[in-house]
Amino acid sequence: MWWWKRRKQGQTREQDLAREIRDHLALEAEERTESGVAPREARYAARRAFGNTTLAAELTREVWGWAWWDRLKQDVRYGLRMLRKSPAFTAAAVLSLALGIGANTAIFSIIHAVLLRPLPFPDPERLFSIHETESGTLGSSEGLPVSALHFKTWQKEFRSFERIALLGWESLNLTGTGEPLRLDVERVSASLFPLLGVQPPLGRNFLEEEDQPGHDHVVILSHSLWRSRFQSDQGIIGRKIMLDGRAFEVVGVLPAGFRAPWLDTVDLWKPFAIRDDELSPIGDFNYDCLARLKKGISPDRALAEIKVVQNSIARTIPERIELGAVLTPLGDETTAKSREGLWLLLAAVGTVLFIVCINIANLLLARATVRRRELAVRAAIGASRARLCRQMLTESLTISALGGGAGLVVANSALGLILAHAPATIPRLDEVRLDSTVLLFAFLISAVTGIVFGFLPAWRLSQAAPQDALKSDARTTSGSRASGRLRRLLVGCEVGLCTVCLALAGLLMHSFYRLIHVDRGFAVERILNLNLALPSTRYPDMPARTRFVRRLLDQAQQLPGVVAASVSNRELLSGEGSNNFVTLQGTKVPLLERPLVDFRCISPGYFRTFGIPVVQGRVFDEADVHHRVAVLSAKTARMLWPGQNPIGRHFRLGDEESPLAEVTGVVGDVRGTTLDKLPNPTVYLPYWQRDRSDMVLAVTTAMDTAAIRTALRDEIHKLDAELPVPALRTMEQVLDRAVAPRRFQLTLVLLFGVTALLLATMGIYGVVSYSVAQRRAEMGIRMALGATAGDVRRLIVRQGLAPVTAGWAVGVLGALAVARLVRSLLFETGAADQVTLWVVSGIVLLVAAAACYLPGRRATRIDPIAALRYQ
Amino acid sequence: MTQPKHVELLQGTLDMLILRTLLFGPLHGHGIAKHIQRTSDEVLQIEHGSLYPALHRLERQGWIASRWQNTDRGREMKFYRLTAAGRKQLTVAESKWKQLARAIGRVMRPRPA
Repeated sequence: MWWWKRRKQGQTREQDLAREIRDHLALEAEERTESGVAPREARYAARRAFGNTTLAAELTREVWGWAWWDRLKQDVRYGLRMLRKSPAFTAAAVLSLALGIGANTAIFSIIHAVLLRPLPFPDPERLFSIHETESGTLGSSEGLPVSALHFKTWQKEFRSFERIALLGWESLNLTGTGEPLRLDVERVSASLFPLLGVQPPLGRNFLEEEDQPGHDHVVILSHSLWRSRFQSDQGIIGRKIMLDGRAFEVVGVLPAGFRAPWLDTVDLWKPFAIRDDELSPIGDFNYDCLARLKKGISPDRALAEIKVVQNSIARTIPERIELGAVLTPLGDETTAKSREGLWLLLAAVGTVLFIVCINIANLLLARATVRRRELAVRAAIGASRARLCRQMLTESLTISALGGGAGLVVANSALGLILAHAPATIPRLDEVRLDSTVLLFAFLISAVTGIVFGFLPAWRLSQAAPQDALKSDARTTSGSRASGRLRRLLVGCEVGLCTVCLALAGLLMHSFYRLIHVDRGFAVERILNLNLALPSTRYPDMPARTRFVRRLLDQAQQLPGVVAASVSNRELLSGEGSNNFVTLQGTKVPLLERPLVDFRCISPGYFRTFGIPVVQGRVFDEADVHHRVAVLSAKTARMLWPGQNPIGRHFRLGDEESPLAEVTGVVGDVRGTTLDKLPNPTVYLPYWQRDRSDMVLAVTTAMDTAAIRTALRDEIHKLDAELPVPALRTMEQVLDRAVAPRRFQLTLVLLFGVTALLLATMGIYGVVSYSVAQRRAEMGIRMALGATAGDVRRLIVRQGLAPVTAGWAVGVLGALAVARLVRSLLFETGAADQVTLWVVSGIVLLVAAAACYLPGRRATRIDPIAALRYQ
Repeated sequence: MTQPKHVELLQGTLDMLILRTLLFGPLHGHGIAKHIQRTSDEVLQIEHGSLYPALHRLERQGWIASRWQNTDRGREMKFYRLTAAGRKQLTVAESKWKQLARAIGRVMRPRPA
């Protein structure tokens, strides 16, 4: 209300002042007329005596104190009018700003949600993850998972922590409610949810008594499982559900928004209930541990305490080991792997925005030369340099405000697109949204952008001496030297930035290409994968499981179109697997210094299914069911018996207690865990000699058809109707998923790089065109003096390419430096990868040359006489 | 562009002159300008325009007050008059000015030691 009154007040004051000044002038003119001067002369004399009416009015307005607000409104109105008069420029500027600001806002919102925001639990800075370290032989100073036995000791001894909790993964089959379903289950200590500060809205948390074996037949459902499988039944608490054939009581349902971002999706939670067989004194580092620090205790002190406890544990173990621990803030651990990649994305998209700013600055500088007259007149009337500068900046800020507004729309759609294609390996993506911090960021970069691209032209323009501009006809001169230099400098910057961006994209692309084409050691074509979990209630012992597998393989192999079928306990490329030490006969080496190998439990058809070559000897088969056999990978054979024939030799997988196994054959190495690491030494054991209830059925087909898929499902159903059969995956899909994060990153950086190149090209084209247009007279004179069309073209191109080349050179150096920083993201590609640098340089220089050449051609079409005559 | 400098030089003094002029009675802007010019024997030639910011500033500070009134010629013009606070300010400004003038005089014609 006061604002409305003030506005009225302001209007009245303005009217009064205008009237006052008018009256003054009239009175003065009257007096002069009375003393004999002609009326017109009198009026002019009166005005002269008064001085600068506009300035007087302005100074008076300043006295009122609201001048800055009025001036701002005036500037904005003027700016908008100027923008309306040149719609092409406005459209180009606002559009490119919208893209730049929108993309930056989208990426920032991802970074904010994933990296910057603390975890959505109370007091997240006191949440830590504890890893053990065994710096002696296993040689890892980075963390190992936690052993259950050590955890129990920690529970008794730790004083620095409010609570600690143990977590482990398991999979169970849910039956009795529709189709059998395989669930991802997390076993957790009863202290976990109180530790995180999560209270189930329905039901309750686990009790301490339920965290014991025998009393642990209770579960807490995840919200999504409750919704999808149990139709959000409010009466779910107390109901019994069947998991792996055993009854469990539902005691709670978690809140809808709850996520454990450091884990993959969890369907169901059950108490850990550490079993006695899980308490082995050494080895079996299998589980995760979370802890909440007590208030007021520093992490260093807590870590010191943990180390003391670890030392005391180490003393109780007969083997000599160095047991330690690392304490990692939970937030850092969750985001560690994604961090570098995300910041790289922000840097790339920031570069694009910077290039947009440079382009707009160039455009403004070009327009500014045209507006010199207008500004000269303003300066002559009485505007100070600061005033002019302010006005130009306000115009720039208006453009950037419009761009920012449009940018928010772009950000929204861009975000939707990015999230739809983002790989699941980036944690916390479900928390990404355009919240107030992100909006603030968008506002800030709009403002900063406006200042960045507006500052140079504004400063430049306000420097112009009004007399020069008003006197000379600006069209016969070629523009001041300094302004040309400035534009060329900006072009150089653009090219440099875009080179860096493209080089990065190129490196990532080369990495990706190398990764896809790396020698995997196994085939992926026409292989179908199926995960099966045999519940222990219906398959209580190993013979039962073995029987099932044998029948399954027999049936599967007889299906038409199936070339080979096999099972293994772990899918290829699914990440870390089972491993153990190898004990050779008569070895005196301490346990923890023995060779560590991955092991897989497979059926004989495994190598045929995956196309893994058999290098030596033979694969075990059903005939070997009575004595212990194994197949080694080539690396393992070289490691255990270098230079000797491994066939027929014996070893133990594990310690001296483990059974002796005979080597029957050697196969090729495979990159079985991840593509970007060298193959691990692997030992293959027959599935009937090692008990595993989880398995992956792999089937190679002559041709992947829907018929084979249904046939497979039917066979499994025939063997066991209650076994959940999840969707079939092809190995190609598995491979795809394994490289998806890299592909995602590559796609985005490439997109930004190409955008940067396009923008830089437009910028170069604009600057060179403009310079050609300005230098028409000069070109005309040159041609009149005897220069050929070719000479003129070459001149233009040469002059245009000069800043480009300089920028490119700096850009290459910059690219080398940046590539070194992101080395960890590259695969088998050096920071100074020649191919990439050559290709990228070639592209940039060629495109830039084209951008210079086109205006050059136009220059040669100038008729010299017309150019000279045209004033 | 030299006008602003001219005004700044006289800003404090211009205020004082305006207050003094209004001591005689309310006057409009034009009248004030003419009065200063005449009384100073045409020595002080101020630009009429520079008066208005000064007048409004003085009004803002509460030393003068304004009112639209009819002149003897029948036109309605904005008249300014001195307020009580303005009267006080005039005394203060005048004494400061006298001090300044004395000091300058002492420098120009140093008294014999």
